[in-house]
Amino acid sequence: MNEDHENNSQMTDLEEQHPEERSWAALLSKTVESIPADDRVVPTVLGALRLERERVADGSPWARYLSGAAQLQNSDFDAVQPTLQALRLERRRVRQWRGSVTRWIASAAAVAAVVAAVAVFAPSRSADATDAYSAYQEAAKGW
Amino acid sequence: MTGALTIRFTPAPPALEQLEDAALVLLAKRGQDEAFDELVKRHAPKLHAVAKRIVGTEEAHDVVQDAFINAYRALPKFLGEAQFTTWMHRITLNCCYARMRKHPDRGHDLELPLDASDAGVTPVEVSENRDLKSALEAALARINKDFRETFVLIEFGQLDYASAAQILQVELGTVKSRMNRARASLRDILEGWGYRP
Amino acid sequence: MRHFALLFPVMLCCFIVAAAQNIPVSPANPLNYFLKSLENEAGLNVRGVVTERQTFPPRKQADATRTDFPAPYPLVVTLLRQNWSVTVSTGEQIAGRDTWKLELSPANMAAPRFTYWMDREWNLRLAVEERDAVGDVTYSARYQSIEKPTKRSQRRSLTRLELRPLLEKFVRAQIGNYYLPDGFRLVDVRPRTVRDNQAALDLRASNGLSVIVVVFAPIATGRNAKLAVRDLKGSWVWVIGNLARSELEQIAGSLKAPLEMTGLLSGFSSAPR
Repeated sequence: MNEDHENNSQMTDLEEQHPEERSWAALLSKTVESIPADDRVVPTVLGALRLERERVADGSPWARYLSGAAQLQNSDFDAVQPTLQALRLERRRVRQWRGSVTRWIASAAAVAAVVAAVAVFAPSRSADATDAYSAYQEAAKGW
Repeated sequence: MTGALTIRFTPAPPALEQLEDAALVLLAKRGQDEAFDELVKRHAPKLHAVAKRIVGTEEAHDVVQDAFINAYRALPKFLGEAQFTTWMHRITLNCCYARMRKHPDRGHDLELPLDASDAGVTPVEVSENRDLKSALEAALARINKDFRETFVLIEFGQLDYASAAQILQVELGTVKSRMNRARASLRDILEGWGYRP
Repeated sequence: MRHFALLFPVMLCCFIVAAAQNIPVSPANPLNYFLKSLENEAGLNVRGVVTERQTFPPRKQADATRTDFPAPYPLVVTLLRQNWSVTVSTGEQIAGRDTWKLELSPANMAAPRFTYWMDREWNLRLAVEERDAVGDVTYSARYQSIEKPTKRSQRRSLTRLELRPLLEKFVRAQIGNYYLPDGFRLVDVRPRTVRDNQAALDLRASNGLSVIVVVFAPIATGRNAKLAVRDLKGSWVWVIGNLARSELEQIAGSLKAPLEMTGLLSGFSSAPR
């Protein structure tokens, strides 16, 4: 890379830029700022950390599902491998949930009420079909 | 006895949210898991934003998760010479590189992340910032890898130039130069698509 | 027999005459030509102005303008060869370019059919039209103008799926027999998350070119066109595809929750958020 040698001749900081460049830099920064953060990331990481700390025992339904799958004949294994991988991913998620559920049940009765509410309402809640159509869009994309 | 009711106030310890990173690191090292959780809440979204632009959407969650698990395990060895955020960015970048070595073919979605379609990037829609966001993502995927990394660390990771230099293990001048080139490349592409500041 | 002996020289003569007069010779095997063109396109940067209209899956704005052509559907070549007939003819000019018009029709007329207009010189898609069984255009895209393509620094890889009889067997062992319209086969199973980050499972079926997606989820989804939703008591199944509602309902009606998933999904639906 010869860029190191070009540093002195390259204009560097915003203050040294031409107004047009400055307005482009500002536009780019503003646009980046306006991109919302993914709010799923914090719970995902916290779940993984809990797992790391608690080493939750492995007894999820997926584990049984997997052990059943693992007993398939060797010749089946290649075909089943991607599914197993997918299910392992699921199992990891389940374990995260289990970890959080265990802690949570021990912690407060108030939260238990929330769970009960969720248990009652979640399965019956229906929404727009965005989720379904995005599943289709993903499946229909060929590169 | 005066008979008056005496209420003794014990000063409450400061909430974790109010503590600086260095203090949280110290508490986490002493075994207070909530302190490390607070660090996660503080830094995970930015690290995810960085990882997403390097390894793609699918892998970024795993990368950030791996990075924090690695950091959690390595915490006793973290001497605090660097800032926590700089250290975490370095770990995250390493996890990104490890992923890319493991799945070299997964970089494809960076080449054309939105198949341009999802962006709807057309001169007609120039004024709508919604499209500019998508266009910026598409443009980012098209520029040189080093420039992209630098831009992403500074803009999405909100790092200063010196920290970025430390993370990328290059001279400060190189970071400045790459940043300018990143901006110039992005500008060329976006102008070509009809965007103006 | 003499007629056959004459056939080759006659064809050769036709070809030579056509070439001499610069009359285009259409691709001998349209399906191979289609596949090769997609492979070719995967290695090119192609930009221009593309107008697009999509009514399925429905989206906020049916009409859009974009700068490149949409990704093709994932292909299952074996099924394409088994289930589809492809004809070629001279197509109209698109964006000022000469085209071959490829008409792809599935043996099962309940599935959507496609028309592609391919650039004769650059061998890439210039326009596409997808029609459902009723004949309504559910998707179309067409270049209004196009720049000369350049080579991509890194090829995209065209998704080619293979038939996976063992996977099909494995899934049947878990959920029992189920109905898929003629020509469609299960090609993939993937985990996914649905609203509120809840775990679900995707089953994807293809007839070579179009897809049907089955989602086992802990929650229902809105009822809408070309989407069947069924309560499996404890979990839900959604079936999405560009087929008549009755076909999708029939698929949904034939599905049972995976043996081990029922417990899992009900567990998920009652988990704290």
